[in-house]
Amino acid sequence: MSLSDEVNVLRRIPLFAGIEPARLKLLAFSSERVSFQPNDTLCSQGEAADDAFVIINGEAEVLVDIDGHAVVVATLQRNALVGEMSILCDSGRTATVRAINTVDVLKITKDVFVRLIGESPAMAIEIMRLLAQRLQDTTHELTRARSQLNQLKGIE
Amino acid sequence: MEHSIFRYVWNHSKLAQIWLFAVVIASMPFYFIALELPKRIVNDPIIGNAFSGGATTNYFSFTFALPQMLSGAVLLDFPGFEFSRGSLLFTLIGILSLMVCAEGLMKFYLNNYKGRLGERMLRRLRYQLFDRLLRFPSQHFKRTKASELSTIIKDEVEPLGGFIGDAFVQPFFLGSRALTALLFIMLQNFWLGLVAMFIVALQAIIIPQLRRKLITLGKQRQLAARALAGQIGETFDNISEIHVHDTSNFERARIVSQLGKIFLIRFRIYQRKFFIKFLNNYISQITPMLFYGIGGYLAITGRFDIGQLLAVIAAYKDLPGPIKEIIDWDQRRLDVQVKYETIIDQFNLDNLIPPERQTLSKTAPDSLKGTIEAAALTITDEAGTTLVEQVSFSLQSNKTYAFYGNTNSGADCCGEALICMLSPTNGKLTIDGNEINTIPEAFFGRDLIYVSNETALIDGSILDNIIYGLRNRPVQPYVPKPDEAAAIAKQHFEAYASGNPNLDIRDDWLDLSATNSNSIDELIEQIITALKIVELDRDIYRFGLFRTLDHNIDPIVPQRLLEARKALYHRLKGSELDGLIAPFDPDLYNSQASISENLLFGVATGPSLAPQNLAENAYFIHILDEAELTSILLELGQQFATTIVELSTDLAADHPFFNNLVFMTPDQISELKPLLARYNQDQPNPHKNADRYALLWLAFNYIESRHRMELVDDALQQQIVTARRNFAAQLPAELTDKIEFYDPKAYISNASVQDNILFGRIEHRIANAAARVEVMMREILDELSLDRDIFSIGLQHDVGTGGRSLNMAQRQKIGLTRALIKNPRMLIINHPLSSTEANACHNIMQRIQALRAKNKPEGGMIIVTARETIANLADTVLVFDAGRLVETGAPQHLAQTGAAYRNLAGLNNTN
Repeated sequence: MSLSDEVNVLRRIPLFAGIEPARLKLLAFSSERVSFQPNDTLCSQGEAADDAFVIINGEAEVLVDIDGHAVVVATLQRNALVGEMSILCDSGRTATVRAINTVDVLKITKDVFVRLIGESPAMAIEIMRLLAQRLQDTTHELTRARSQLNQLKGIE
Repeated sequence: MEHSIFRYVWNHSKLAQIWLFAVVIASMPFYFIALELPKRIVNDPIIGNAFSGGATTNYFSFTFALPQMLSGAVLLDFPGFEFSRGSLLFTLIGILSLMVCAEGLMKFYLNNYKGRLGERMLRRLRYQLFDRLLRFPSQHFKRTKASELSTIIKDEVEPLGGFIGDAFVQPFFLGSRALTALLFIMLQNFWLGLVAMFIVALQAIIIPQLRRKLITLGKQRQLAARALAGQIGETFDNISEIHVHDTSNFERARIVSQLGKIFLIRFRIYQRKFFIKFLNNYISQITPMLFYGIGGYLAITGRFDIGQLLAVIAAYKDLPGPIKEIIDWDQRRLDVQVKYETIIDQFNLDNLIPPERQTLSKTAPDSLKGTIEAAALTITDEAGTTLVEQVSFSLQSNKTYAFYGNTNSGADCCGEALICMLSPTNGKLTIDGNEINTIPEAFFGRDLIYVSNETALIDGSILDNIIYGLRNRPVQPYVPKPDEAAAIAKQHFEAYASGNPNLDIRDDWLDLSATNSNSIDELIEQIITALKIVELDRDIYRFGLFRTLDHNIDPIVPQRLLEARKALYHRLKGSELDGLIAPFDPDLYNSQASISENLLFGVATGPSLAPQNLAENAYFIHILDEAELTSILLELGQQFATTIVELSTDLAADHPFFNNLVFMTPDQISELKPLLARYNQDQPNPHKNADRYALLWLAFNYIESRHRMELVDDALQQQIVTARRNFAAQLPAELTDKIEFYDPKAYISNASVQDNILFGRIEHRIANAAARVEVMMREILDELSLDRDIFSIGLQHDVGTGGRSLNMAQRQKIGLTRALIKNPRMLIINHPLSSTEANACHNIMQRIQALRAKNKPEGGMIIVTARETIANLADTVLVFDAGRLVETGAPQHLAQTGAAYRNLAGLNNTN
């Protein structure tokens, strides 16, 4: 797969949708193509986060450690972007990502990603939108969980 | 050392000087005869005085008779030979030429002899200065600049050598020549002789007077030049500080002022010198006029014959020469005396280490038996600051101690005092009851090894540095080959004649007796063990992998490495990691490698086929043309350039984008845009050729797997592989030694060990490829028992000047290894591995303790440290504060009750 194919993949990712093709080409060129064997880990929970991954081929699962057990919380398909949030807040990986079959990714380094945000207001806004969306979702879930908790307390 | 250079020269070369006198005296008659003959030639055969009218005469007749009081009997009456005027003329000329030749030969011999004498004295002086340098007390180095001392030993003594041969004999030789000439003139005419003498005396009195001032100037010049050398050395040492603090212009100002001083001094010297020269010349030129006047008048009035006059003038002509040279000699004498005194001042210290303490002992010294004791030890530095005050302790040589304290606590200074790097000002420091200042250094070098935290490294390999500590004495004299025995004997004699000791660098200086090993192989084994203990093994292993084998390596090693290559590919095949390495296959295009690497398919061994010169190599271009690749690659280069220009516009210079273009400089990248614009025009382009080179070069560096622009399709790959074959097949003779081709069955002697094992490029597209390859390679090397060879190769890694190619932690670990293999009774470590992180350092020290317990159960350690975890490893901790020893005890005990200990360890804060 060549640079132009990679650009096509990047274009399908919502976060990069508003970015001009030349910038995406630069993004692809500055990033590294890496392939993972089945069961290889792309990143591990708790580790320092240096890169985000765009899945170009294959599938990967997202695992979260709950009380010492790894629980699969999501499966990632082609064109998915993963790990971009951890590199923004320097917090370490919030989950482990493991290859299900052979997975080809485009590895975007933190430096490249942050520069891209700086250069592209559209992308910055898109990220804010995504974050706001996630916050909203989390708030919803929290509210629901609280009311459920109250109900349970009421039953007792 | 002698304060006057004459005394020095006389003391060390009496016999040679006397011999020189003898030779000079023996040459005098020849000189006198050479003066006498011209007069005779003119008078006797030419004017005919000896012939008194006859056609022939008896010449060379003489009688030898006893004095009148002893009967006056004639013992010998030689009638002489009969000569005609013509034959006498040519006989006399023949004798004259023989005399001139004999005199010249003697001069030749003299000059050679003097030259050798001077060089020997120079060698002796240099050696003595260096010997003194080795005996300087440690403190002295704190206020001496290395570059100043080196300029003294190297440059300042140099003119002394030239002078030493002449010191006595030159004035004697010239003086006697002048006297002979004067005597000759006097014999001819007393008054003329007197005139000549008067003028000589005038010169001899006035000129030295004028030169007094030159002495002072000479001294100033020497000190200024020394300061210049010192400043250059200092600049060199501080270069990073200069850059960091932007003081380069201040340094320039300093050097300008220094150069100004030197200029002024030198110019004054010139002014004075040339004035003296003028005066001297003037006086000498006045004299012949007097001679012509007086002598001419005497000749005209018939009281003096013309032959005599000519001879006198000839003699006088010879007179100014020696006089002038004596004056020059005097000038050099002044110069050299000043130089010598200035040099000696620097090296005549009162507190030199006595030579007995450094005497070479052929056998290992006595070993440490019992205790190290300090009684009211006080140390002050030169400024009078108290470093250590009234410290008393008694250390057993089989226990581990920690000198625990912060900087300036006195712990460091006590450690340094134990090996004489600081001398006690008051109190006593004894080892086995002997005053520390009287113990030979050999004892310390064997049984009381000190490891500084500022490890100094010598130029050479890591191995050279580790075994440096074993070079205490020659253990095996060098056995000369039959054809060099004579030359070596001569070298030894010369060393003896120059007062150098008979130490020979060719001897085997590796004293294994201190180590636990009996052979070099065992020693290497021990070094590897020690390196593992100090955790330097991984670094050394890596150095080994990245190293190109030396030419003199055992040929079995490359053979074994080829086995490793085979084993690696065997293992990769069939495993899930197949494809981790893209091998160099003669029939396949390697997409991990650049186009030029694919074309060359080998390692360039010289500049002609080096990557940066390929585009201009006629043969290489010829091969491309033949394969019809040139236009394709130009096209490819253009596309590559276009993409780079497109992507790099407006990018900051540090954008990660450029990481993929490491082969280009930022300037080259910014050049691409105008280049493309020019290149695509139809107009004549003066840069056409250069542009073509640039585009081709760009294409050569294109790596499909990295740049991913789909510029290399299958057809092009095939074409390149074909061109590769042609390139090798038609390689002209003059290029055969400029490239080493990849051959799956052969070792590439110009590539690193790792490149040889991998024999291909790591497929970076596979996650963690490099790490996986490394693990697998190590496994295979271990299985083939090649790990030891890799270590040995890694030990050959060059440490750079002063160890600059290694980091501080690595240098400290080498210093520690150097001490560990000596296996001393007592090991003193000053701030062990201060550049290594505390936890790792603690683990290393624990392992060192275990090693020592195994190899030297009767031995002990003293660890100077400010780290609590390290101090706790000791049996007994001595806590220092403000120069005093404040607490002593077991670490567990001190942790409970020791106030100073708890303070230092920060235990009080947590409570």
